[in-house]
Amino acid sequence: MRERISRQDLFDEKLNFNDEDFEKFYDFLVLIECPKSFRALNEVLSNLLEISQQYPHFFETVFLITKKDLVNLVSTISDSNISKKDDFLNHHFERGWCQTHVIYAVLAQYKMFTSTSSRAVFTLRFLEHFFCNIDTIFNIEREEEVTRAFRNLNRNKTFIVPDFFDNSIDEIVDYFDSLRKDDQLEGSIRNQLRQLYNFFNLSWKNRTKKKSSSRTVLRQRFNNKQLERVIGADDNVFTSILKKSIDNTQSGIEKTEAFPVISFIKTESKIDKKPKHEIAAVKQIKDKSSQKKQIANVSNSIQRAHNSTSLNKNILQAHDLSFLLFQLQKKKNYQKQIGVVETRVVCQFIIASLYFSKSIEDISSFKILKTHSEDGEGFVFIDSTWHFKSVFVDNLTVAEYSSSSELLEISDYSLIQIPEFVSSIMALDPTKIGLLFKKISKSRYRDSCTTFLSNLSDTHGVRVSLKSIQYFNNNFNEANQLIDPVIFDFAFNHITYKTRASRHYTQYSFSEMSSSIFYFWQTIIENISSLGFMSNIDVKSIKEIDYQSMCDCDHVGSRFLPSAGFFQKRNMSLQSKLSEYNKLEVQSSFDMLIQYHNDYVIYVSLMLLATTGYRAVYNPLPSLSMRLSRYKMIMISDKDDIDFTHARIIPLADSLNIQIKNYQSHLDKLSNLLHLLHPEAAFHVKKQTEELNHSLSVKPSDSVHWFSEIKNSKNHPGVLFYFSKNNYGTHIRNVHPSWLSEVDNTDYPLNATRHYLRTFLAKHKLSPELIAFTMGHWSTGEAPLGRYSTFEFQEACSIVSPIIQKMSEDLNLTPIRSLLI
Amino acid sequence: MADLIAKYDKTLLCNTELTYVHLADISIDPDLAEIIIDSNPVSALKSKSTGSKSSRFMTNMTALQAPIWVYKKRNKYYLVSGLLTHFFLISTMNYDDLSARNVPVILLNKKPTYNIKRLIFLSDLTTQLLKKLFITKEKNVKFFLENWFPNDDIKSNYLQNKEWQTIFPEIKTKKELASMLNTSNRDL
Repeated sequence: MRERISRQDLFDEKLNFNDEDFEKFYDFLVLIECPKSFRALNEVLSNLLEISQQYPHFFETVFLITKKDLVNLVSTISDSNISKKDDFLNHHFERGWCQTHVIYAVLAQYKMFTSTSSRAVFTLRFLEHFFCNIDTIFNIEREEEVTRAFRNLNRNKTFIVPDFFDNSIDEIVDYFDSLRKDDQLEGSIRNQLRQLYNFFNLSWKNRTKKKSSSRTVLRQRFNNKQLERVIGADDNVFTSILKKSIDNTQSGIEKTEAFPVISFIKTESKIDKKPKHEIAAVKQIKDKSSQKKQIANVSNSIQRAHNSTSLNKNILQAHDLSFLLFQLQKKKNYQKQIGVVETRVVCQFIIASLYFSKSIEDISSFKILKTHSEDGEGFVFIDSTWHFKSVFVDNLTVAEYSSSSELLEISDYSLIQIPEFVSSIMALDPTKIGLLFKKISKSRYRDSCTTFLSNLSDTHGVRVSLKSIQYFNNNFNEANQLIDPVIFDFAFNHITYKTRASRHYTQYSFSEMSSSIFYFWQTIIENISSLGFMSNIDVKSIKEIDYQSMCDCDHVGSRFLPSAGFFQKRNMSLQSKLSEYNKLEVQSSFDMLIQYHNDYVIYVSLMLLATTGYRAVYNPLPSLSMRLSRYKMIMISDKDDIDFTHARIIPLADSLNIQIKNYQSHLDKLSNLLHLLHPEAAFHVKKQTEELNHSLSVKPSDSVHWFSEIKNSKNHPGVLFYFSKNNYGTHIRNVHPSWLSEVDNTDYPLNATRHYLRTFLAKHKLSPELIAFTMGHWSTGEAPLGRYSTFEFQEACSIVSPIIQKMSEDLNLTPIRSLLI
Repeated sequence: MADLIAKYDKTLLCNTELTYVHLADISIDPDLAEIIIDSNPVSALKSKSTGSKSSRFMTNMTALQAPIWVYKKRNKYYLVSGLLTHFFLISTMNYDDLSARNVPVILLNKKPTYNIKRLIFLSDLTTQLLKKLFITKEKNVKFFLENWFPNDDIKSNYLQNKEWQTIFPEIKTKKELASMLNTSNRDL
């Protein structure tokens, strides 16, 4: 903290001044940042005398006292007790003064400046500019940086300072601008020149990422050798698997959120491949329009794939399924051999592939486990019901694990119940522990299965292939949106690119997963029988089993989910903190006011984060006009880029709606109270509350610029801001994740509320599309704001809003009126 | 202190002029900010009466009826009197107006000394508080007076403060203050 001379200190020295002179010199000593001890003042004053003798008029404009005044001051001080102090004569100043007494340090080192002829002018020019813009410089905390650059540049023997006496500030800016680009100068000097250029120009650029990443950078993040098929798409379109996540912490997004854009690849179709003797025309290879068309084709086919309907040719239709299931259950054929494999075994393979979405190779290593705690995947017989145990591995790095005790524990594996129709075809026997199938070559199993299916297709005129069986769950669910696709990931350890983000946020209990999958199959079977096809299959409801007591922990999924009780407790304590303030004190005392505002902002921000599922970003609510109260929607922008791919509209809960309205009136009153004491903040607040009127009158291009400036901004103050104190005074700063977790004193990740929201929505059996809409998870062809979209926002919001409202009531997030109103 | 202010008052007219500045360029003098930092008079205003739209068209009138006093230092203006006028003006203006419209103010040629500055400011505030009666609750009157006229000695009250005695030499007891405000002295 900067320790400054006070009026009383100077008064105590009993200097021989009249009132007017006293004021003048006190102001002067404060200006040059004279310390309480008067240490090194002798040195500083003699340097100032030297400057004032050279340029008396210039000196007066900078320091606001005449040369005569200065001489008067020096002589008075030399007559007084101050001059007899050891500190006064001491040349060396205290450690840390270059940081805390920046001007004093410059003046004390003046003798060391190398160019004796022009140092006075340069110093005066520098200080003139510094004093005129002192508020700006201290506000962004650049004072140490610019004075250091100034001192070091002047002390450098290799750098010759020109005479700036007749130059305007603009000319000095140009001078430094041209010099800093000179390659012949040393790096450190160029750095100092750049800092001085910024100082005279008064523009410090924030390092913001403005461009979307290039194709090559994008490709590097993916492993192009490992491909994954696109759900519902043709055979030759793939997506590559993510190699590393992007480092996007600069734009305020935490690492666990930072996934790059999915890249899609179209491999050459086998059928369309040209014969070797046919040479491609040069025109075709280099034709720009055909290249463009090719890219557009890939996008189109992906968009089509992600919007597949239940009649898609890749999905097994009701009649296909009906014949398939009928054949699988036909026990009299079981003894027949297909190749070297019995039909019974083939049927087991196919039903397993259908139900567990596994390939024949994976199935051949299935086994029966003795207990669920045994290592490995397989079938377990618990409480006279068959279960499938799968080990779910999340690829978090060690650093991402949180040790917080508030987070719910999760299990390493998942257990789901298997319906009777599957286990009977599989002929599972609890006494036969170990591998289910004989160890013969996997391709033999595959060949037999293929033969079985082609026989089936020939006799019944259906189209069933191994691939369509394996991907049936995903394809069918994609087209019909029956259950949350994340459940398949957890239940069968089957990771798809589409759920890479949503998987991260959700937690399910074993019985929830089982009942969802049972519901999925019930719907399919009902669908078959409603179309008049046979169905002797009955998917019964699941058996109630207390997994909690059996396996210690019966949840799987997100590691970052705190309990509801934790949130309730936290919100209660925040509310009681706010209610402890006294209205008169808050309104009349500046310190109390900013303290209250900070606490109030924490509550509003946490409420915003909780009910919108905001990612942890800087400046979460860029403008008050983002709230669309009439439509019960709010526009948010997280993880966004220059193309606004993640600026989106989401449902707005009533409580948040009221809270933002309250906050708006809070800001109104706050700007009134602050006008004289903190004009900077008051003007800013006033601007925020008037933004709506303002935004209606700007051009679209300007508003795009405005929005990209403020969203997730660190330095551009937004609606949610807090007061922070630094050496120079109180400043406003945007709400940001690290501040929130600091004041909240928590060690859980701040986006835990996002995990909570996703899980809460999933538990309320909301359709996957609406969940994705609320969370902002979509891939090509699914964006609700896309040009092709027929998504009905109003309808969606009217379904989702009450659920979020219920959540906020559960978590004790009630809107609070400000004491200022 | 009384003769100090009398002397200042005599020479005041030679040292002032009417000028026009942007409201955005005015801030309060840092020494005076300390007086109101714990007792902001704006907080006691009735919230309904602030920022009424009718006064938007009378900015110049409002500014001249109870003028703002400022002095200039570098490119900034510092307020020493007329705090409430400043507040009324600002609350009726748009954000864009603040840096676009000029407002008439009294400019002091010289920065007043510390003591004078305080007296100017306090007498302006007390005039608003006691003579123009912008608040009527005795408890609030007491709160502001105690904050604006602090005393080192805990036993004595604001009436013993030297600055108070300079501004209101005739009011020495709470009873006298009460009779001036036409209320009871119970809560003062």
